Amino acid sequence: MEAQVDVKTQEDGYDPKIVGFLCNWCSYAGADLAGVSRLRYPPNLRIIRVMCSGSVDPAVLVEGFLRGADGVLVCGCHPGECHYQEGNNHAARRIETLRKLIALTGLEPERLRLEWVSASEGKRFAEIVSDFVDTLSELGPNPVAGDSPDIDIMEGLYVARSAVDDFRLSLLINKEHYLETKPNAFNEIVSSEKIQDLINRAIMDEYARCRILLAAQSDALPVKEIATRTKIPEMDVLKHIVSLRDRGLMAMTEIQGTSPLYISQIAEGEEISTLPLWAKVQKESIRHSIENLGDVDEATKKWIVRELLLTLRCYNCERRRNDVCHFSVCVRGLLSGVVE
Amino acid sequence: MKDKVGAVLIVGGGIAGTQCALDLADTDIKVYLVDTSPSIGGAMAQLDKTFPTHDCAMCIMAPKLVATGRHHNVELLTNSEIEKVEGEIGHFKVTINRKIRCVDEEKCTGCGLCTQRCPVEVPDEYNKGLKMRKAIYMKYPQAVPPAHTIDRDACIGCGICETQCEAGAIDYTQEEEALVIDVGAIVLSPGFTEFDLKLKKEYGYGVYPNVVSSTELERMLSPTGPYGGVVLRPSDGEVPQKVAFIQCVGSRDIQVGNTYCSSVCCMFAIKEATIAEEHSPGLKTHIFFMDMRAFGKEFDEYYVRAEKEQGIQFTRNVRVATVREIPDTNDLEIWYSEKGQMVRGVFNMVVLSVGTDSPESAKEVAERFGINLNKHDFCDTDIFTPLDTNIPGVYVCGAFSSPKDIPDSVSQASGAAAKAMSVVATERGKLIEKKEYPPEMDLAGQDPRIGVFICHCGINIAGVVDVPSVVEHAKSLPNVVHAEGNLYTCSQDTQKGITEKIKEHDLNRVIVASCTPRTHAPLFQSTIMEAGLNPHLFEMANIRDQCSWVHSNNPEEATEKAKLLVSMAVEKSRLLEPLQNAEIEVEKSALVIGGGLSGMTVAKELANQGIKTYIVEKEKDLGGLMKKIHFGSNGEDIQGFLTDLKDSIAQNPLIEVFTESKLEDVTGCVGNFDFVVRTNGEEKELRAGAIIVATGGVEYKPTEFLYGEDQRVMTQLEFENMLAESDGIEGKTIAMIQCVGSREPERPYCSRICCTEAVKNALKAKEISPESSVYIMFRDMRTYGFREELYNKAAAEGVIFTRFSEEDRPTASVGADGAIEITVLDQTLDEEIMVKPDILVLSAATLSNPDNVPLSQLLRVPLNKDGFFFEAHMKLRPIDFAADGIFLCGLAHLPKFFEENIAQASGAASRTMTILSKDSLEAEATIAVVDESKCRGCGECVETCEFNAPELITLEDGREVSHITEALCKGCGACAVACCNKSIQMRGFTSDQIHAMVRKALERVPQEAS
Repeated sequence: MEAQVDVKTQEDGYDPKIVGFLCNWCSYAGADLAGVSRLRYPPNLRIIRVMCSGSVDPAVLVEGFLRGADGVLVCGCHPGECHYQEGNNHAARRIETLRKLIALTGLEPERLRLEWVSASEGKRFAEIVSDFVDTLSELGPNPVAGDSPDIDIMEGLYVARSAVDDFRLSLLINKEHYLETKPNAFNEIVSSEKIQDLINRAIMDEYARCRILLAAQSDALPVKEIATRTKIPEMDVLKHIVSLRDRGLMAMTEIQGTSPLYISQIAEGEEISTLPLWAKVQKESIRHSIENLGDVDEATKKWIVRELLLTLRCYNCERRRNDVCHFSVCVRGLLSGVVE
Repeated sequence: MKDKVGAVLIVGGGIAGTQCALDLADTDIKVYLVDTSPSIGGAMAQLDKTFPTHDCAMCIMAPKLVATGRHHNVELLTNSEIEKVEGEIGHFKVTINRKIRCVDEEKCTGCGLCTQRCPVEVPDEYNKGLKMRKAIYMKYPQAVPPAHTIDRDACIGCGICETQCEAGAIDYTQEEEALVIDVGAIVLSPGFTEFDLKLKKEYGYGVYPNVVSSTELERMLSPTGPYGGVVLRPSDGEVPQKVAFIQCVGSRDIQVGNTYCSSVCCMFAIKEATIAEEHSPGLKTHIFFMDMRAFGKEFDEYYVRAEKEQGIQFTRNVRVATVREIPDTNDLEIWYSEKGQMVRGVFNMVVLSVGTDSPESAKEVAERFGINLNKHDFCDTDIFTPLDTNIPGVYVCGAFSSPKDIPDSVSQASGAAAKAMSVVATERGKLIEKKEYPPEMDLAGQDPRIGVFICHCGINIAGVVDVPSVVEHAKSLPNVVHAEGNLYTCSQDTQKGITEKIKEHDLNRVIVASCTPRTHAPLFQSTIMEAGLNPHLFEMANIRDQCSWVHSNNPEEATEKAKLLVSMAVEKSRLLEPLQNAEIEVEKSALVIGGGLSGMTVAKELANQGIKTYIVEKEKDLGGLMKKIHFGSNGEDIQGFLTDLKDSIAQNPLIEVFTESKLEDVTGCVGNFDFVVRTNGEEKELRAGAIIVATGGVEYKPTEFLYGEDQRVMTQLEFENMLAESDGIEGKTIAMIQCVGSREPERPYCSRICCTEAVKNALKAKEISPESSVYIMFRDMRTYGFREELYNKAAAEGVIFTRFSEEDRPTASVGADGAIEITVLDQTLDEEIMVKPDILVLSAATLSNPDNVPLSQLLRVPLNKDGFFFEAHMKLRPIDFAADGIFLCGLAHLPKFFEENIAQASGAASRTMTILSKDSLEAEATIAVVDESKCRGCGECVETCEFNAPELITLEDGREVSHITEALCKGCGACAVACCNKSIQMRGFTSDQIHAMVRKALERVPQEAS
């Protein structure tokens, strides 16, 4: 099995990269035990030690995918054994939500994995890693990694990160635990179906809303165009725009013909709610800049593209209003060190 | 017999319940206003605009809601239901189940932080599901009481709102409580429910996204609605270019069992079509209807304007058969039959004019109170007692007794208030606690000592404005001796603190910098009165609604602006002076002009409450037009009722009737009108506290259709007389022509009653002689409300209805054989038909009384162009004149039915009692005053004033100057500007005060050296 994988990865030049977050008390110790026991597993995993799986911010996990990880692994203590009582349960709920969000982006949710590994389960740890590498090998490379990232999925991941950062989802995830274990403010037990239903709806809604905000962040667009760009039905786009206008995150600029145009209300340099600065970059601009990089060597080109995609700041803000992005200007800025 | 209880329960806080509550409370009767919703306001609160004036519904309604919420005689019991009713007239015991709000109404400031953070979203009923709301919410921004509510069905109890609420208003432990109250009378005003559009499957509501209800469209039109006031297609957010309105969806429909007319949808549709076209570029509307029922005051003119000027398309005499969606575009095709052909129309959006059903709670209400419902589950009433249920002491108003529009609901509400009042009149004031204030301090010669209280409003202000720095700034201002910040200036403990600070620092002026004076000034004024300060030594700076809330993205400038607003308030405050309200003694009697049904009803209702009433009637007998009416729509004996009514008037010692008399002179104002009555050359001088105009109307004497030339031609009233004698109609052919003298260029209004009268008389003729044939030729059959059923019955009994158009009215001539020949182009058949009737009945217009013209001059109240009296506001003040103390009712207002006249006349009695129940009236304090030494008597102010407050008087030295009657001045300030010599000042807003604020606002701030 292991040999097969090796052959495949070598043929494709694809070697899955995995980032793993291991809790200090169980899983990290489990990994150590695998080492002490000399249990072999593929070298694809880069381990980051955290004190508790519950301390891993879902936004960081998304960041992993954006930085090119083919898989992201979170390991914590078995349920009921958390060093901090409930940390692993928190992790489980957040990751479950994140997985649903990731599924919406088009990235395979199997790339995000949560496992329970105790300090005595060195063998289990090694098996998990091997298995995960197998899975990832079958899935192929992360579509946002590499020279020609899938911009749609990448955009989706940014949207997912925003959505999971949003107060509404994060609050619901936090409250889910509380409400499942204790009576609520009215001293009643809320059915978990009711909460799950609410969370699932909130996931769909907030993801869609962030997508809409991103789509209309630099140009005022009609509902139809937003629907085309986001692949959300027109009727739903309108409903979300109503909610976003209510929150002050979107505004109608004018009515062109029979179509009202809407634009996101995220001022430059401001993070009013959930949407960070990255929303300022259009995917067309990125494509454009990749094509216009000119006489730099391939390695630098890749580095620049990646940096651009990751920091996603438009260095050409004065000309942002123009239809044609002059990204190459700031690429030069980057190279010459004029722009930090 | 134990004492009656001086309190009234009102069930339902829509516009009718609210008006009823205000009338009762204003006459010192304790009111409990119960509503199942968390806020009062009812259906009207959801409207964008109102027809035919296009007034913003919320703008005209909000002051009434606020007044109700703040009225010290009204106890609002929102979120509550009636559990049990025991007892009888005079002393009912009612158990009310108070559902939980989970928010302390007293503590909640309505700031909305909880709503922002609540994670639960559910469709917003107020916006008809076109928008989402949170589980903790306020129904609409201007809601009364201004408190949030937790929707227990949606809430998951996560507890976040409690952490957000700075006021500590969230209380999850609230429990339902049963409240038992004692009341003497009950008024039911639970309103109506919308017809369930899904029952009309052929129109695809709920299936096709672009088929919407008229109420959904109303929310779309509202600037506070989901789409910011632009009409959009729910399917794709595009502005529809072609919009169809389908009328009578759930009305006049045997298929769904609603055989009545919903009365309001025709006008509602025209209004929406007009406004939609104004709001949305390129949008054109097309209304499909059977009959256009524009029967109210100036409605028909509105309809004509919409067609001729606005260009709205109307397709008459059709009922749309089906609506189908065209899948690719989500457009809709509608099919209807016109002149025998099936016609197809394609539209971007279809609006269903939703009908009115009885309120959802109707059966429950009926059971609890023991009242009877009619077969449509509306409250059962009869034409003689339109406000009474079958249970004595339980009255009804608004849409619960029949579908009706706002002014009719308001009239009825006042009428029901009068009914309830007469039950508990003897107990007036007994359950009312009058607030006593300490005597005012004498401030003569004192310099201004100003205290400034700056509100954080939780974080509503402090989250943006740097409140401590505003406090420091305030301390630096001239005459300010004390300034402080408060978490909530409006909270109970801060109020107490303010009175203490006034004493501690000898404050003689108080400024509160917080929210808006429109809602909060009365509260703070009451607070400083408790410390012995005149309430007019108070000023507010609006640093929330007009500062922190609108500049949240710019805290620094918001802070600077807040400082400036406070500085400006201080400038004005330094110039404030104590103002006194003049007291006007009230003469507790009333003058009723006109002794017809309306006039007699007013007099009877007033006498019921112990008020001396004079009726002045020009004829030698009371009764007016009613003398010519013999039976009601359901065969009621009108003449028998008239005889009883006249007897009761004659026997009532409190009513003095002057027949064959004329009103000669009227002077004075509200509380004290002096008038002269001339009877047979004899003059009598009298005084009354209020005047009710009930001059009635007259039947038009036609000049067309051979009337006056041929004995066989008569008016509807003359025909009714013939029917009453049951003579000469056996086996005859009778033709009736509608709109004779109405809806014509020189008399464009609809006379409202003639359609139903014609149907009534046609049925009577059929009853007397089934073999007679009856033809009714009409333009639009306007048998609104339950009158529609008479129309159905007439059609079923073989009365032949022929529709003619405005252009092709019938013609009448006498043929060679001596027979009358009527030819008319039948719109339905598109064929000319000829009828040779034995009797031709003309439904002649109802005209205004010609005496209205001199009377309007005598009373200085306006007439409309048709000679009917013009009320203070067409929607919400249908009984009042702009001038205080004068009211109108009956046909003097507009043509209307028997039962409508009784309701409005009772309403006039209630409105009158808001004045006559008091020993004295308090005039406004912020009014205009004349500096007689400067006045040159030019009379400009007299010309300008709408309320007849200024008049020219001659001083002892012979100079003519203006004098403003305090009781009449409303404090608008128009005269002060008009005054050529600046000798008029508006108290509380003097030019010195305004100038001081302007100077401060525009003061140049020296640039800081950098």
